Amino acid sequence: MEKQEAADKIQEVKQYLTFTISDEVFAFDVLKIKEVLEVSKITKVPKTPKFMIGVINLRGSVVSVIDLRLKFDMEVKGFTVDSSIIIVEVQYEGELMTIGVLVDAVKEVVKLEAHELEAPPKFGMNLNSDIISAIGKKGDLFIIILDIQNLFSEKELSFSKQEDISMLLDTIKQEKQAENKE
Amino acid sequence: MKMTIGKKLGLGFAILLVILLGLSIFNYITLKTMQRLQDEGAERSTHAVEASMTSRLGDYAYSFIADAIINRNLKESEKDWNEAKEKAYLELKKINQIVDTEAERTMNEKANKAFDKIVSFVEDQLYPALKKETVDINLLQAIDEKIDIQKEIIKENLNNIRNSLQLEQKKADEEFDNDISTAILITIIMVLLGLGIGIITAYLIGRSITRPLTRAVEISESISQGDLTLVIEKEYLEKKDEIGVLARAMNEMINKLQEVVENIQGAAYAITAGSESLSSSAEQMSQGSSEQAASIEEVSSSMEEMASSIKQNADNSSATEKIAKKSSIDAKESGEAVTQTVKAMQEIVEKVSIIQEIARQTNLLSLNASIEAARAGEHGKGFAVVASEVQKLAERSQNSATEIDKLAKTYVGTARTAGEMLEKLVPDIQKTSDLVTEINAASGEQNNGVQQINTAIQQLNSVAQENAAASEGLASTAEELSSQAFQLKEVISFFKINNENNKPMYKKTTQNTNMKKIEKKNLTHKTEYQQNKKIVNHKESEIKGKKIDLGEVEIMDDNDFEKF
Repeated sequence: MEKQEAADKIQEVKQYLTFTISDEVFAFDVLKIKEVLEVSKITKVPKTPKFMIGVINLRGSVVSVIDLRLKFDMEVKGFTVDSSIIIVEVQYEGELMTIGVLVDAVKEVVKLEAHELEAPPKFGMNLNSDIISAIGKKGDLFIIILDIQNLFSEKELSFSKQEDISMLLDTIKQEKQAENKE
Repeated sequence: MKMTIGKKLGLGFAILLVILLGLSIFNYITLKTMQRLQDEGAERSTHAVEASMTSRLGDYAYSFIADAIINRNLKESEKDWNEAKEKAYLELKKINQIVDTEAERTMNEKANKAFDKIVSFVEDQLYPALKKETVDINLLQAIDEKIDIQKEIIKENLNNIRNSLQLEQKKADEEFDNDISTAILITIIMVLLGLGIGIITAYLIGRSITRPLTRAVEISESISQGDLTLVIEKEYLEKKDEIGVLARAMNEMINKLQEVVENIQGAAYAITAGSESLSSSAEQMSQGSSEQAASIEEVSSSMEEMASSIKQNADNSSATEKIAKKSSIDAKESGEAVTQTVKAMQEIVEKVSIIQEIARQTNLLSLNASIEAARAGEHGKGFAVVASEVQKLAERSQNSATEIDKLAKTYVGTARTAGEMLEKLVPDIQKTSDLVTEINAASGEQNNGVQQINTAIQQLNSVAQENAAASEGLASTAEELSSQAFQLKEVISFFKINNENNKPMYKKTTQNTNMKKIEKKNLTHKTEYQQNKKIVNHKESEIKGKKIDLGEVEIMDDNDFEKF
C-alpha cells in the first residue's frame, strides 16, 4: 500500500536538476537529462551561432555545447571548477538530439510537488516566457524551471545550423523588439 | 689791647730802640761837642804856646840888632834880618789868625804895630847908622832904647794874648766839664727811662702772654686728662691778638675733639652693634653653610643613588639589548617558521583541493546517479536513495573541504600577515636594540655626568665646609671686633664730653643690639621664628617702646641734671 502511494507520489512529484547561472537558480526536468559532465576540452567549430561554443567528445560521439550565458545574453565568464556541462536530449526533426549545455554550477536533484510550482509571469521577464515552463518555490528560493524543448527549439537549432549569423542576429533582434513591444 | 703780641713787642722794643737811638745820638753829639771843645782847648794851648813864643820876637830882633851892631857885617846882617823879619811876620800872621776876641785883636795889632816900628827903626834908623863910618853910639843907644820899648810892647801884648788864650782855655775846660756832667746826667736819665719802659713793657707783654698761656696750659692739661667739658672764657675768645687766635683754635680743637670723640663713640657703638649683627650673621652663615653641607651630602647620596640607578639602567638596557637581539633572532626564526607554516598550509590547501575535486566529482557522480535513478523511475528508487546519500556525503566532504580550504586560506593569510609582521618586527627589534644601545651609551654618559656632578658636589662640599670654617672665623673675628669695639668704647670713654645727645644714641644702639640678640635667638629656632613672626614683631615693638621710654627717662634725668 505504501509503495503504491509512493508511486503515486512519484507520479505527482517531478524531479528537477538545479543549476546556477550568475547566482540565479535554474532547473531542467531530470527526465530530459542524460548526464552531467565536467568541462573537458571544447573544440571550437567555425561558423556556428555565437551561443554555440564548440563541440565535445562524449564517449566517441560529437556533441555540440551551448553556453546558456550567451543564450541568455548574459556576461560571459571564464570556466570555474564548478562549471559543468549538462547533456540533454532534445527532439529535433523527429529524432532525439544530444546537446551539451554549459552552466556555472550544477546543484542537485530536487523533488518539487505540484503545489510548489507556479506559472511563469506573462511579462516583465527578461527571457521569453516560452522557455520557462514554471517557477518552483523551495522555501524562499525561486527556481526557474526551463523548458528544454522550447529553449532549444527547432527554429533556433536550425538557425544554429544555418551559417548566416547575421540573420540569426536579426531574428534575435526582432524577437527582442517583439519582446520589448510586449 | 687791640694789638697783637708781635706788635706790642715791636712797639716796646721800638720805644726802647728810640730811647737807645736818642741816647746814642745825644751821646754822639755830646762826644762830638766834647771833641770839638777839647780840640779847641788843645789849639788854644798851642796858640798860647805860640803866643808866648812870639812874645820873644822882640828879643830875637834885638839879638839880631845886637849881632848887627857887633859884627858890622851889614850885608849878612841884612840877610839875616830879612829872614828874621819874614819869620816874624809869619808868626804874627799866625797869631792874627788865632785871635778871636776884640781885646786880643787890639793887642795883636799893638804887637804888630810895635814890630812894624821895630822894623822901621831897624831899617830906617839902624841901617843908615850902621852904614856910616862912624858909629854914633848915642844914636845907637837911642835906637836901641826905642826898640826896647817896642820890644817890651810886643812882649806885653803877646803875653796878654797868651793870658787871654789861657783864660779862654780855662773857660772852655769848664764848659767841657759842664758838658760832660750834663751828658752823664742825661744818659743816666735816659737809661733809667729806657729801663723803666722796658720793664713795664716786658711786664705788660709778659702778663698778657703768660696768663692766657697758663690758661691754655691748664686747658691742654685737662684735655690731656680727657676732659673736654672745659669752656674757654669769652675774654680770651674775643681777643684779637694771637692769644685770641690760640683760644679760638683751642676752642675749635675742643669742639672738633668733642665731635671726633662723639663720632668715635657713635662709631664704637655702631661697630659694637655691627659686630654683634655680624657675629649673628656669621653664625647664621655658619649654620647655613653647615645646612648646605648637610644638603650637599644628601644631594651627594642622592647622586650616588642616582648613579647606582643609572648603572642599573645601563645594566638593564644592556640586558634589554641582549634580549632584543635574541628577540630579533627569534623573530627571524619565527618568520621562517611562519613561512614554513604558510607553505604547509598551501600544501594543505592543495591537498584539500584534491579532496574538493574528489568531492566535486563524487557529487557529479551522485548527481549522475540521481539522474540515472530518476530516469530509471520505480526501479531506480533505491539507487536514488543511495545516490542522494552519496551526494550528501560528497556535499559534506565538499563543505568540509571548502571549510578547511577557507580556514587554511584564512590562516595562510593570517600566517602571512604574521610573517610580514614578524619581518617588520625584526627591524623594529633591531631598531629597539640600537636604541637600547644608545640608551646604554647615554647611561654611560649619564654615569660620567653623575660622576662629574659628584666631584662637583665634593668640591661644593669642600667649599661649603670652607665657608663654614670661614664663617666661624668671621664669627670669631666679629667677636674680636666686638671686644675691640668695647675696648674702643672704654678708651674713648676717657674723654668726658658735655653732650646729652650721646646717651639716647647709646640707648638706641643697645636697644638695637638687644633686638639683634632677640632675632638671633629666634633665628636659632628658625621654624618657630617663622611661625611666631607676628608675635616676635609684637614683642619687638614692645621692647622698642620700653627702651624708648627708658631713653626718654634718661634724657629727662640728664636735662634735670643740666638744669641743676
